[in-house]
Amino acid sequence: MANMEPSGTRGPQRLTANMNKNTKSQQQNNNRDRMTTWGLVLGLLIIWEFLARLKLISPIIFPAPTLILSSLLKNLLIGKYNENVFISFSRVFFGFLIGGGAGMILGLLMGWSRRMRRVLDPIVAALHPIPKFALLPMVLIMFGLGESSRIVMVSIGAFFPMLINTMAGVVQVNPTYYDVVENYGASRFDTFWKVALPGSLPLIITGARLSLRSALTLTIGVEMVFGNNGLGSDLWLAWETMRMTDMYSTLIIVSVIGLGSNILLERLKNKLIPWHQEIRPEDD
Amino acid sequence: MTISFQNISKMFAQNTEREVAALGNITFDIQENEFVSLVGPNGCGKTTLLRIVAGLIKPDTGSIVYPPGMPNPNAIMVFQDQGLLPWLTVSKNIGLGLELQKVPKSSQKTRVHEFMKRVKLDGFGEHYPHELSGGMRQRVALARAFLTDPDILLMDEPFGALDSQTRIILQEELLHIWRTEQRTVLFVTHDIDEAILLSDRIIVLTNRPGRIQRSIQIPLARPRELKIKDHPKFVEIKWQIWNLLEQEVRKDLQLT
Repeated sequence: MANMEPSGTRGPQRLTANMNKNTKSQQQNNNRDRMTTWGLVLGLLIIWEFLARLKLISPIIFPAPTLILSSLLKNLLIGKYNENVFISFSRVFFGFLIGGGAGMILGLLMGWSRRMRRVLDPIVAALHPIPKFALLPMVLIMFGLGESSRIVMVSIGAFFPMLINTMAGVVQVNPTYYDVVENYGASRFDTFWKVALPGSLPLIITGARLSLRSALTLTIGVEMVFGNNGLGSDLWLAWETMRMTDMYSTLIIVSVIGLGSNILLERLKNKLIPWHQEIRPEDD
Repeated sequence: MTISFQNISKMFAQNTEREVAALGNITFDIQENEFVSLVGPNGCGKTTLLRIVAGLIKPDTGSIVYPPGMPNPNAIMVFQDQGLLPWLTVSKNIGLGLELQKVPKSSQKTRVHEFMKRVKLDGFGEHYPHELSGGMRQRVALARAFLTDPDILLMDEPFGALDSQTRIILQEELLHIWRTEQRTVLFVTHDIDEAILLSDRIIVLTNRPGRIQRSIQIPLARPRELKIKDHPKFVEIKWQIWNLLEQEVRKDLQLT
């Protein structure tokens, strides 16, 4: 009978043992798959290059990758993107700071206080599904044609993902952790700083990533509409003047900003929550 | 220095109309440094009683009377699992109790350090709980609870989530710590062997709402070893408790 007891410790240990056994071959598999990915991308680019050079596809719509690359390098060298990268990046940054910051604070409050959650959750649930870009005319009327309208739009985009994830983060903290500190006589203040905040960090960081992505999307969109500066206006101008190499090279710059901020947040995550075990390998 | 539990009862709202009695009128005393186990069928309110003593929930009736020498009784709970905060390292987890009880920082450090050495956890101070096995995590949880000098230690099936071999080793470990760090202990378990091995007295509870069915003294000499399980007295008590519990479990399963 005693040997049939289910075990809490054996599971994880067995997992570790398996991992150790498989590490080498898994590593080889991972490497092989990674090589395949790069090979696939490279292959597609080569096919694209040939089709464009042989004019089998319209070189106006699909300029050869080598042309895009040389245009990108040339533009980088003369510093063509510098100003607009700085402008767009500032908008993403300040929008993320204002909207994401407000979202995090409200999210913590709503997660912490059941009363606040009950009062505000229906309002959040009603506002959240509105496509944020649809608010542009309203924001323009309220904040005018200047920079503030743009920052407000980006902030609105950054606000909701942060709010919803932070709130969920506080709510999903295992209630036993609250019992533990309460049992030792923790004050409300202690309980917040020692349990609610650290316990919700993994989801806050997920919120930050989604929030940053939303900020970037709205920045580019707003810039396309305003059209006077920023990478979004570059993209729009390239379409208007049919300079497709410019369009693709700007697109590459925008992608690099998106990827770069993701990588930065991933680094930050490892620093902030070294204790966190990823349960799902992909969470978005 | 007796702690008295007087007429403690607790109802839980099952839904808006119905309330279920979890605990019905529990009265008993526990002596200083006495090790008392509560055994009983599932849902008999053992954990509810511990949570009441820990101050996590309030009883509907009754009270816990501490001796006059304990103005601020320190009743510390060891949870079945998930009792360690995953974002704190082992040494921070062990020090958490002292920190929350506002023990000065400097003496926190030395006490954590010394205790970790005594229970052979030094060397794991910088590990996070997820890097430890379930048994190790419970050792850390035990260390944290003992370190705050509790007036009464509450243990809610602390070894219940462990495999049976690890459980036996940790029972011995608990006996060993308890021998040198005498404390009043209220221990909840499903495991009759565990209860007899560890306790001075076992309180057998009935089905929900839990009432005291029998209180059984364990006349086995201390210090106890695992081999005591072969002692005729041990076996006799084991069957005595099983007979009491069997009826309750059968009632619950409608097998009478």
